[in-house]
Amino acid sequence: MDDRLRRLTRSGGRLLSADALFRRSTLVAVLAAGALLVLLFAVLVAQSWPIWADRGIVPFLTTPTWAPNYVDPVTGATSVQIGALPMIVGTVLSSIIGLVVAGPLGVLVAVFLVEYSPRRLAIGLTFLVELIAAIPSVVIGIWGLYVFSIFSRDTFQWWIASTIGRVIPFCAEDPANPTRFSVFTAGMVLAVMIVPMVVAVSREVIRSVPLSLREGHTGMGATRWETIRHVVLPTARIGILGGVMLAFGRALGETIAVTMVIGNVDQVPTSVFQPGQSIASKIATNLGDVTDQVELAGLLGLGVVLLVVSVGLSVIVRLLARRLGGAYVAS
Amino acid sequence: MTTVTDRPGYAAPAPAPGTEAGVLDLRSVNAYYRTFRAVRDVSLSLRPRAITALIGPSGCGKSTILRVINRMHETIPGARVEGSVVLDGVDLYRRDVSAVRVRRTIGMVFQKPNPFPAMSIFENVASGMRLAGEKKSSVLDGRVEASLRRAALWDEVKDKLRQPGTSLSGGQQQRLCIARSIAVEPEVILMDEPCSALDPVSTLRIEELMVELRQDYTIVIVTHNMQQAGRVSDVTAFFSMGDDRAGYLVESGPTSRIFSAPTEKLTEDYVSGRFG
Repeated sequence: MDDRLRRLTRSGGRLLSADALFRRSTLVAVLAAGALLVLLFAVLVAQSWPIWADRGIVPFLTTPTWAPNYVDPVTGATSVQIGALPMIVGTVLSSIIGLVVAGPLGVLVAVFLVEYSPRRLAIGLTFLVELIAAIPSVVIGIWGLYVFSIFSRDTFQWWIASTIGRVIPFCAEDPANPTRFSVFTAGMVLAVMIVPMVVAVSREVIRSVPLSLREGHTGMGATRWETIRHVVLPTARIGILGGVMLAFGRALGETIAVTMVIGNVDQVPTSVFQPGQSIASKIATNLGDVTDQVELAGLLGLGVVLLVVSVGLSVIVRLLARRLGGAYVAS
Repeated sequence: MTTVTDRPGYAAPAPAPGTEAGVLDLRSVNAYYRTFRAVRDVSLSLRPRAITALIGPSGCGKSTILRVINRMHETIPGARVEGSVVLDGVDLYRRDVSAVRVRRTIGMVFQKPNPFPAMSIFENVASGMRLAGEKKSSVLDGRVEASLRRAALWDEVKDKLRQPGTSLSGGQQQRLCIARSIAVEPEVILMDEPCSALDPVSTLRIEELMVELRQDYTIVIVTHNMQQAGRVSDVTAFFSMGDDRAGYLVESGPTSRIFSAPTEKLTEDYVSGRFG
């Protein structure tokens, strides 16, 4: 073959094969990352197999006690009672509290940063909010344990329980036994931890609402607030929702700070002002000294539940993000 | 070049004496972005029930003038205005005049169609009325339909009023934005290059619409397209940029005269395409 022609053919030049090599190595990296997730999931399921096989998915998810050597108080017979329900309820409740507090707060902060704050102040405040994200969670746990929980027990906890608690389920307090270790405290600790995430995502989404839309509304005789309420927030709502759900996912899996304040009691709490247990805190406190094989399988089963929920949530966020990406195509 | 005089149907009807509303007077208007003066000493009278075209090269302050009129200029940080804009005898820059109210009286249509993506076609048109406090759905329904008819869009959208405004084509979106601005019954409509993002067919429809709307409103349009200014406007104001980069008014007058026998050499050079 003519030398000149060879240079032009696909396999002729070394440059091209280096390109192919690099492309293949990136492909391998992608496959490895994907395999990691699949492998992790497979190992967790395999290790926790006794729970799924012997006790079944539904009984595991709905049994409200965690007792590998359960002694029936009436008959005295022993049995295995391992259920994830206390942890599921504790996890969901504490994360919802975190979200209810951090969601609106974070969105409001983002609105202020983008819409109202002078630029310099916004830069300073953004830095501060990012600093919160940099606080190690164990330090936030200490704050929850020694500052917030005591303050809340002695001041507004009773007030919340006796007002909101009469209307909304799970919010009443046992007046005889007020406690600082509670699902509520865990939720507030989570709120502090996820606020920066809500702010960061909301800020970007709010900022990306085009000036032309704001001007269109302002030009019709809308006040700043009316434009924010009727145009900016509705246009950004899918993105904000995505950010909030991402933050929810983070809250579900948070371990150490929750472990420090939630009370670590394996019961289904009837109120957020009672101690409870989250999936992550249960695994963290028990995995080190578990000897019973069935209990070990149960703990790993909890891991499977958390993994499925977290991955599922993140898939939903991705789908939302795709919808958001298409939102401006027509405009 | 086509001018108003070539198309008799376009001549503005003479308003009955004593019923003038929408008389707009710019008096010694200076507009600034921080320390930069973008517009220098513009005085211009705008006639009701007529279309005034602001033309001139890029950077001559046409759009700034437009935004001064409905007090949108001041929404940009550091922007301010000197001089006065008088609408029907009221100085819009008087201390006790609310910019928000001004913008309800002086509607604006923007360069790029900007329907609100989170609102349906209906809600886009109703949004201004809702801002003004209208809650009755019978009133809203009627005015939305009337505005869409007026904007020559009703037949195309009447079966999909609940769909998002962004589902329409570019030209339809711009007519939706016009419907949105006339729904609040303003006295003046400002249009900032309303056709620059549209294809020729859509452009023609918007121009027909402007001519049709002229019967009821004072219309001010900024355009880069001199054929457009010639086709639709009754009065043309030509702006240029001075040595200090501030835009100023070179001359204004009936469109036919500005295009056929301008007083200023600069105007002649511009309208004949020798610069700009």
